[in-house]
Amino acid sequence: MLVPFIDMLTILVVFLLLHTADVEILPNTKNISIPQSVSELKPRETLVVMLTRDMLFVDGKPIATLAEIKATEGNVIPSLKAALNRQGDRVLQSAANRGADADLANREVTIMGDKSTPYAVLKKVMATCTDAEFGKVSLAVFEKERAVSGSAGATA
Amino acid sequence: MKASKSVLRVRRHHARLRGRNELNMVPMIDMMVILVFFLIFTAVFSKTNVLELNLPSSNAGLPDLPDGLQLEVIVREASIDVGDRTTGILQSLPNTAGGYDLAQLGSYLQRIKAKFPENQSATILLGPDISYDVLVQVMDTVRVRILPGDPGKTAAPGAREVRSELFPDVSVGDAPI
Repeated sequence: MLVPFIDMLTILVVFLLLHTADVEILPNTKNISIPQSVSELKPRETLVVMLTRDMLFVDGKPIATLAEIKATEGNVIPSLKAALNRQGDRVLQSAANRGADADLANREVTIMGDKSTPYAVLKKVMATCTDAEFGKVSLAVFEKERAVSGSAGATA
Repeated sequence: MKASKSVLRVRRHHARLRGRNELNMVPMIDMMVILVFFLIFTAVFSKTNVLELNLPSSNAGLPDLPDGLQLEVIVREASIDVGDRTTGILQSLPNTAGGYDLAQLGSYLQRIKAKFPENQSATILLGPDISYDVLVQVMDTVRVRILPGDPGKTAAPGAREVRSELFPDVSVGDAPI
């Protein structure tokens, strides 16, 4: 009597296990909405700079408010640069542990920005990242849902 | 021979269990229900990917400009301008009612790609108030052109769309005023 129920449960458990199998590298994005893109590049384990609507976080720690960033003269945000430099040693260490080339210019940072972030702010964040010798900057995006292809046009 | 008391007890015990050869599934179901709820609440059903940017490092100085086309896509409030760094604006695409005219931009860039097939890089220049979302959408348009599969051949369901690479090396800069 319980057998069909157990079958369903087993299928559900296996399905959910497979879906959670890919390791979450980027942190949760429930409080910001990041843009969608067709990019298929998988995220790597890097330092994450998160830009919400009003705050800037590095590795989950608040660094500056958006108003402060807008008010900053020039392209380099001092508080962000200090935070990146603090993180830098740790990033180098983990790169060396992986056996990767611990080259300064190849340090990576991933920027997760809210959709509405103006370019003026984004530019300062990116400029600070390159200034703090994080040479590779990637932008985090959601994978765009695909429209089911081969539909209406084929039957018409 | 008369069986001893202890043997009788064992026989009685086995007789009681005879015919009850099914497993007790209830604890297992309990565990599975808990597992299902746990997995449902921790599941994330949206995949995050990354877009790589090609930024010059701060101390690299100006690289030597290669000959030929240096494509620039300038995103302004009201239009997207496509140009070459040396010759200036080639085409200006004004906004449509639905925002930026990314479809036109894609087909125009494809025409440029057909003329300069070995060119891989493009620069996106943005005004200060352009949102990050627009940057990502324009980057997508500049990097790849996605066409739905050939309409004559899409009889098979699930035919994959065609991706053609346009200018995958994207860098970002400030728009000239």
